[in-house]
Amino acid sequence: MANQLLQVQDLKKYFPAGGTLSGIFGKRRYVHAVDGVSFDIRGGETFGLVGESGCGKSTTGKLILRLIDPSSGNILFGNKDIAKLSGQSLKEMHKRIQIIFQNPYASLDPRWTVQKILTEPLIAHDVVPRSEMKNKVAELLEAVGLDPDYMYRFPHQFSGGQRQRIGLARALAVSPSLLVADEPVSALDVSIQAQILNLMQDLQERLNLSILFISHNLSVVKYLSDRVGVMYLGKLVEVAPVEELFNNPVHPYTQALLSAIPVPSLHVKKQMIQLEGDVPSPVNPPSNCHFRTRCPKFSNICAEVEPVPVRVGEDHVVACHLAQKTTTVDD
Amino acid sequence: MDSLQVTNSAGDSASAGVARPKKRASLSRDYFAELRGSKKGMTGALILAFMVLVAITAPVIAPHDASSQSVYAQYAPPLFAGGTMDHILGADNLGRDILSRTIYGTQISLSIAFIVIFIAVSVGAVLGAIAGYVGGIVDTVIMRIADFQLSFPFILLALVFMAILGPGYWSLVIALTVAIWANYARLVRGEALKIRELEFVQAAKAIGVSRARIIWGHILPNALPALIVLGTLDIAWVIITEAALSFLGLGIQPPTPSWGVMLNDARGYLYESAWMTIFPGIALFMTCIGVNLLGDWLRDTFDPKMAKL
Repeated sequence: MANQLLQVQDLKKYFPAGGTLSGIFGKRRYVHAVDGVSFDIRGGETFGLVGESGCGKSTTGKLILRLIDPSSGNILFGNKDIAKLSGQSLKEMHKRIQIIFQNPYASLDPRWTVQKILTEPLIAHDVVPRSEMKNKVAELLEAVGLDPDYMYRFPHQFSGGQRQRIGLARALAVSPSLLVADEPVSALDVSIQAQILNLMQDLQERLNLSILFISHNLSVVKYLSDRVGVMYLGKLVEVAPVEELFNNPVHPYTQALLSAIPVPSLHVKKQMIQLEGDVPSPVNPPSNCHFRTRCPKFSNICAEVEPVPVRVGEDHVVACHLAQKTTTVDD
Repeated sequence: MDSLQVTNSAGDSASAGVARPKKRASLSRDYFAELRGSKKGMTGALILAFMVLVAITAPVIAPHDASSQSVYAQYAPPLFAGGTMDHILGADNLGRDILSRTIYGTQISLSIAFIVIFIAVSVGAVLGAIAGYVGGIVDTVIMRIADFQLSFPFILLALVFMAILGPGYWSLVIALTVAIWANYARLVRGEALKIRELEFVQAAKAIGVSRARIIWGHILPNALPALIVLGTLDIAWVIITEAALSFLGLGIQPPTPSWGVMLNDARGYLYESAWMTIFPGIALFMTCIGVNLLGDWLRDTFDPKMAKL
């Protein structure tokens, strides 16, 4: 377990639901967006975070960058707790952790030239002296496979994939050691997705970058990730190395999720696990195991006791009572 | 708006060029071409440009001094009603040339309008952007001040300022500025609330860019289109209000030739010498029409969603 770059411990984010006045009438209600998530990211690896819409995976990413403030929990990065940083030390942290966003059309200021967009991080962190800015911008553009002459153009003159490359160049301008990629390819064409993913892989090897890859697309996560965490309704239900997770999913939710991946073959007949009902409201999630209302293997203990994460294999952790019963916990 | 015009024809591969090479200055040139294609916008722009030209060249083009009186010219009718070339638009009860006074009145009206709008937009936009982006107690304080200001009857406010500072050009500027800055603060606050959630602002935040830089670099430039539209339309409001206050004796004081002052002077001679009211009235009307046409066009161009309202 050595070589940990980032350690998230029992991270929680509750958003207040309803207007300012709702607190006066009865108990204040909260959206349990992230409800006690713990995982770690190791140096140089890609950690995939998957789950369906609204499960809190993007919120987790934003919490790590402190774009929103956590309600409780720790985010240990090096010897610092990001959750408690402020002012200058927070700014220093932003030099180590960067983010790229889902929507390449909204992530670049439409009024700024590419040059200005890419100098923003350089100025904010004094990366290079002013006289060398232009060279650095050209260098960054080349690194993401774009022509340096593009620096005089505006974002609207680029395609989605090109914009995502610019966003990547901006994130890498400060030479971070962790990159949070918040659904970076889900807005792109499939052919262009592959290009961006390969670029990210290249850059990761060259810069020894760790990536927190947030996505709802399991095939993309499988392609890119070293380890994968599965989230459901604000909780992390299973974490395992990618091969292990896809070959031997333990949590019933993971099993259902993986069974939903379409297989492009006429001969392979897959048994798809059909979950019943909808995701419950995060304002009032089911007590203890959040998945119990839709779980095909539900038993009474799931409603009574909160499942704690247990180790079921090497590096394979599952938060399910079932796993506890069926698997012997070694070490 | 810009994000809609994506040149999608370009492939993504590194070597593929962008399909339509454009020069940097092309954005403003596009707008100018669009202005020329619009009858409404062009009419408004031409009227306003004409008025500005008149105001700037007033000392050259005015045939008489604005306040020089002549006993011989008292109640002189305009040229088309049997007057002479000496007073093309006639003269008023003191024998002052109406054309010259109207021309100099343009100076007063336009200069007050531009100064007031400039100060009010600058102050309102910055305060609104701070309120919207920073939020919390700062937002509450700024917006409650704005609410307080907007709930205060304007004429009363103008009276207070005139009572304290004495009527005159600069007290009028201050009163009008105080009256409208809150509109821009509200507008920009709304824009800031929207823009701050966009991903490029989140990205700037993630980079560690300071609040001041984000407000100055991202929030204000992206709120600019809405500001330009509202600011232009408000020019007409300022011109009319200036005239109204001057008419009531709360603004520009006679003998300075403001259109409002001229209308007030003419009040008693409406039947005998109608030209005393007609020409400053036409000037006022034309300027406001011009400004409104231009403002409407700006709104259609910058913000197509708002045009339906």
